[in-house]
Amino acid sequence: MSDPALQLPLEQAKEGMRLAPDMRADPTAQDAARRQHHKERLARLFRHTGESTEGRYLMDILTCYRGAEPS
Amino acid sequence: MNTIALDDVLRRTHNLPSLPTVVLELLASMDQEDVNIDTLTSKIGQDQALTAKTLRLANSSFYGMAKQVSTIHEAIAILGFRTVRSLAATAALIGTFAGRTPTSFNVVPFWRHSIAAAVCARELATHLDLNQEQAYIAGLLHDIGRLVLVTQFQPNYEATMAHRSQFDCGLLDAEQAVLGIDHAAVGLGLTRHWKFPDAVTQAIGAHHASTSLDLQPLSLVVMASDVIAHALDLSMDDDDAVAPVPTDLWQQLGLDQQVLLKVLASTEKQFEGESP
Repeated sequence: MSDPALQLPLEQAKEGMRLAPDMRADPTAQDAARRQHHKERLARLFRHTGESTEGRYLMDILTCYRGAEPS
Repeated sequence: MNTIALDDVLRRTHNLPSLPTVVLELLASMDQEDVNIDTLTSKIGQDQALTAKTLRLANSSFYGMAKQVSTIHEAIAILGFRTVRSLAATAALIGTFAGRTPTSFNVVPFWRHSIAAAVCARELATHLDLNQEQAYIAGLLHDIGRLVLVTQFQPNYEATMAHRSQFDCGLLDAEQAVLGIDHAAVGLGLTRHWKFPDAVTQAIGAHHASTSLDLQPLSLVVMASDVIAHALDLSMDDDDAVAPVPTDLWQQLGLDQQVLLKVLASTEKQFEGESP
């Protein structure tokens, strides 16, 4: 495994998602866990932008970019 | 009392590390057409540390070199003078402040965010037909005022960070509440003092402006780059947060969703190659 200090947040997110043993072989469960992780992280990142249209617009683009919503 | 006046900041500029002459020349040359490439190349080459750092960046995975680049001349031949000039300026600026920040200040997320904003600004400048190098430098330095506050007013800045942590507010709000001044205003004062190009100083000073109206194109680019870099979460800071986005910013930039998606992807890809 690479040095954690040099990893990008996305890589950390992939490794940091803790899945129950029976979920590890289930791509649907993995996908749902990944989406949930991105959704929570984006909500935290955008916690200071309030309800502004501009902030919401960027968050929606990031949500699409990270695949945080089911396609 | 933790408040700081801009005059206090400017009085302490003599305590700040002076930028090496070669960096000032690199920066000044960015909006000049008649640059003497050989002169600047030989100046970069005279500074061994700067040469080494520039070559390390040039040899990073992003540029996908088939063989190791070992001289500044080779780097220029392969990457182009403009790219090498940006790389050298980045390496020099990071090196200028290395080892001067207090241990309580985590410098890695700071530079990761600054480089992400620089890369994003360059990408936005490409789409908007602006000077890419100037956008890169303005993005790289947009938070330079934070380094001034951290290195010159350490107790005051620690009080600011404690306030931010206690109220989970934005950095700008915390600075204004505790210091009575913010890093954008300090950055503006410092880069004016360093005689940076006017568009760059304006962009640094305006990157947290409450409105995007009446801003120059470069200022809009840096404002957007700061927001996007935070949103991409590239700093590796758990407490990172996107600052409030001024009304009409995206409309003024005139970039649609498809272009912004391309900017996100390109910024992330290039950042992997350029981050320290």
